[in-house]
Amino acid sequence: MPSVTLPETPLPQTERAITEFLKALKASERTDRMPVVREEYRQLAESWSERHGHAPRTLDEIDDVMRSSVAYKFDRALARFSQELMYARVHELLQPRRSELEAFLDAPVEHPLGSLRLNPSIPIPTYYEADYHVQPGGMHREPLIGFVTAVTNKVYFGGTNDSEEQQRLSAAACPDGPWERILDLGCGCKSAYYYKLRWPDAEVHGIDLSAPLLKYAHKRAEAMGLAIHFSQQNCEQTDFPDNHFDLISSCILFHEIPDEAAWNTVQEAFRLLKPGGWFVINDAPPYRALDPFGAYFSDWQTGNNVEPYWGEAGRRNYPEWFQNAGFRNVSDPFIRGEVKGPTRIFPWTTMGQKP
Amino acid sequence: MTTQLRHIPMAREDRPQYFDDPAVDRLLQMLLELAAELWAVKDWQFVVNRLLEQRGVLTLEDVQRYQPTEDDQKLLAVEREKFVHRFIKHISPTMEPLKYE
Ligand SMILES: C[S@@+](CC[C@H](N)C(=O)[O-])C[C@H]1O[C@@H](n2cnc3c(N)ncnc32)[C@H](O)[C@@H]1O
Repeated sequence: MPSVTLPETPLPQTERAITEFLKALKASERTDRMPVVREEYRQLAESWSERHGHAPRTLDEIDDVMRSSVAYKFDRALARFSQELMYARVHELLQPRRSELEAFLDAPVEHPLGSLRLNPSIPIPTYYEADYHVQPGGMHREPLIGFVTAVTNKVYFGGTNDSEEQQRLSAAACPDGPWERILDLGCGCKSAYYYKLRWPDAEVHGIDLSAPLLKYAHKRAEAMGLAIHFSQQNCEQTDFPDNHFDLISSCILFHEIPDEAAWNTVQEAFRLLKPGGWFVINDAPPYRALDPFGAYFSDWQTGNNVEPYWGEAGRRNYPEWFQNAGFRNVSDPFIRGEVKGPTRIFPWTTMGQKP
Repeated sequence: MTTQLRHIPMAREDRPQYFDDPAVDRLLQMLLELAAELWAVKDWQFVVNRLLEQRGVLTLEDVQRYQPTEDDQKLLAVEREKFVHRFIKHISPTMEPLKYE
């Protein structure tokens, strides 16, 4: 019997309605707004091409065209503002329960199946102070971030419950195993469970820099009856020994760290893996997998949704990085021949094996 | 595909401006706030109407005739103040968020 029950954060009638309103507004991005924006772009691009003697190709050229699209301005401003409205409402909702929820997170678990190891003196890199996704308090300065995430998931991914499709698919994309010991890098409070569910006999570890996220993740694992070992560590440099894991995976971590940190992490994964072990990156597709217009839309995240490293990540060539770090049998959807045309494949899975 | 070096915000307060005139940004925020509230009210009405119907307790006429009591007025005033603030706060990005008492 699990010894932990996660406190429910039910949405009162008004908040439920507003959540559904925001969901509908988000859905209108694809169904109503995108076709109009594309059409306006097509028209504006025609006159741009006449003036410049060629069609817009680079992101800067597309931006030059888009700057005069009123539909695009409304579309994007609404995307940003509804995101802000959502966080404002969720915080207003949780605020009166703050002390109760914080006490729950801080209470020790009796006879835990897994474990939680925090390190209050861990150095926090400056890049990590970003208010990712426009979240108040970023990833680690809001103690209730786990609960915030549980509510906002409902707006992002629809459904009445958290549908953690991205996390499930990321675990499913890994090589088959069986594996003895698995590490989830940047586990937050959503992805580690899916490795344990896929390989119940494996010893599963999750690391993250955010103490509040880890506290929530630990409680959630115990509530689910899953033995997972969480620790507060920087994925660039961990305290695990060499040749320790059979599988190291990550789900939407890499776009949240800058190039240098990402490269350090690839090297760290190489150190941590046993010979024959696999390293897997699951993230958004790189810009070269998209058409220029798709890449432009993707790149919007960088400057507008506090995703400061999204743009660098979109330009990375992970297969090359993997080779340089020493991995072999390296593949991504291009190399595996899974790509037919411009694609939004998610997860975009890069993997490589330590010889 | 290269992009010019440009300013990349790290803080949520460092919000990009979407329209040439910042007034339009703020108007749109107000509009969004109103739209969200309006939808919540419509949704609420739907729920209440359903309940009234199911239980056969009230007629529409009863609702029309009802005069809010003094206590009702106080509760409504609190809600109204919150509502106005949510809407008005967008005239300045520096306006304080609501205090939670
Ligand atoms: C978008 S979240 C994804 C979380 C989780 N994997 C999931 O699928 O929901 C990225 C996570 O990476 C963590 N993170 C970012 N930089 C990190 C670093 N240098 N070391 C460890 N974790 C980091 C963040 O705290 C956050 O939880």
